Amino acid sequence: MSDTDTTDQKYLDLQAYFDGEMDAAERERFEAELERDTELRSELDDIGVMRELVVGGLESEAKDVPQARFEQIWDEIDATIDRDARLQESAGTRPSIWARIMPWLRPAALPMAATAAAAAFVVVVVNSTGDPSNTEAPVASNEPVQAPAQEPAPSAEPPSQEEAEPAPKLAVNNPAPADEEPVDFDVPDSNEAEVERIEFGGHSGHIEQLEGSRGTTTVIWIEEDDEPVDSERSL
Amino acid sequence: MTKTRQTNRLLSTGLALVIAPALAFGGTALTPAIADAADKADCQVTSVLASKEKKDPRIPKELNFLKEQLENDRFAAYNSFKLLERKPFKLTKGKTSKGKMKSGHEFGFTLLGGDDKRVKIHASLLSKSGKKLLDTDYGIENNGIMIVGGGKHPDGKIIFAIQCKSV
Repeated sequence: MSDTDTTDQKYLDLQAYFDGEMDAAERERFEAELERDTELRSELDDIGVMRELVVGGLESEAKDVPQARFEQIWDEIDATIDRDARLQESAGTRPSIWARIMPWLRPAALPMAATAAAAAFVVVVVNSTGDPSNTEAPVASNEPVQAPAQEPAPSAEPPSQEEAEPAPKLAVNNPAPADEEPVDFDVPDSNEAEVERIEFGGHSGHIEQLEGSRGTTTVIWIEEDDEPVDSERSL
Repeated sequence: MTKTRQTNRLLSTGLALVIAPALAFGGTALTPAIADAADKADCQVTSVLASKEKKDPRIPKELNFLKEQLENDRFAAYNSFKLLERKPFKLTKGKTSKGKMKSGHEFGFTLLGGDDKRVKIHASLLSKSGKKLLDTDYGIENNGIMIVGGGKHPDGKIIFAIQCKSV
């Protein structure tokens, strides 16, 4: 028997002993050899350690997996039962929501309808008589009466405020723009705007929020395409 | 079954007693108040030229109401600001009010609604050539400032400060 064969046999014996696969005589013989051979004992200990590590980890996983799997299966069963119950309920003679509400409302339908009609009548009357100006809302937009003398496209350079320009002629609801006084606004508590919808023309645009000591100010940045600076174009 | 019918009748009677008066009084009480607060608004567009040309003061006193915003880092690239124009717009709910600024840009405003604290506005901006630059619906507190920046100008950029309040 070569050394290799001996080593292999030793290893097989170790495994067999560790696994409890030896008969009584073999076990007795091997235990005698263990007492003599410290290296063999050390190897047996190593096998024990390895087995504990591997088996322990696997057992730990094995403990979890069935439990998790069991819970998963149970959840699926629950869901299936609930679904079937709902299907059975809906397939049954379950009345619609209106059918269930109507018996409550039917006795009171007439008085409620009468009261609602009276309330609507009162609202209409109040609205029609409350604010005289509402009854004369102009059909057209709020344009000045004077016929606009359409001015050509304004020059690109913005004049200073001292220039008295003629009134802007496009559908402006402000009479005598040259005499318009600026509106006074109070200091707001917040400048933050809620932009519900936005469309950019040109190339693109974006929205920014500027933080300040008085809160947030919404800034919408637009991008204009290049246009001729000199507005010499005429209509 | 009899008890159910009786219960239904009691519930329906109770429902009628509660809802009907509420309809009668609530409609008359609430409707006029909301209508009055949201029917008209005053807006104003302040156009400001943002320039890289250095001037002192950087922010003139007539633009003090925008000082906090113009001092933000976002505008740090500009060395001076100049008030170009203030243009008021009077809005009536549902009607569009348009006006052309001296820079050639055209604003259009429509009062969509609001109350005594906030306004809801539709705003549109066209370029000098009539090209759409912006179209937006927004809500803002009364007197709140919304800024539209980036308008084209030969000497820099135009910043439009829009303020609105319900009247």
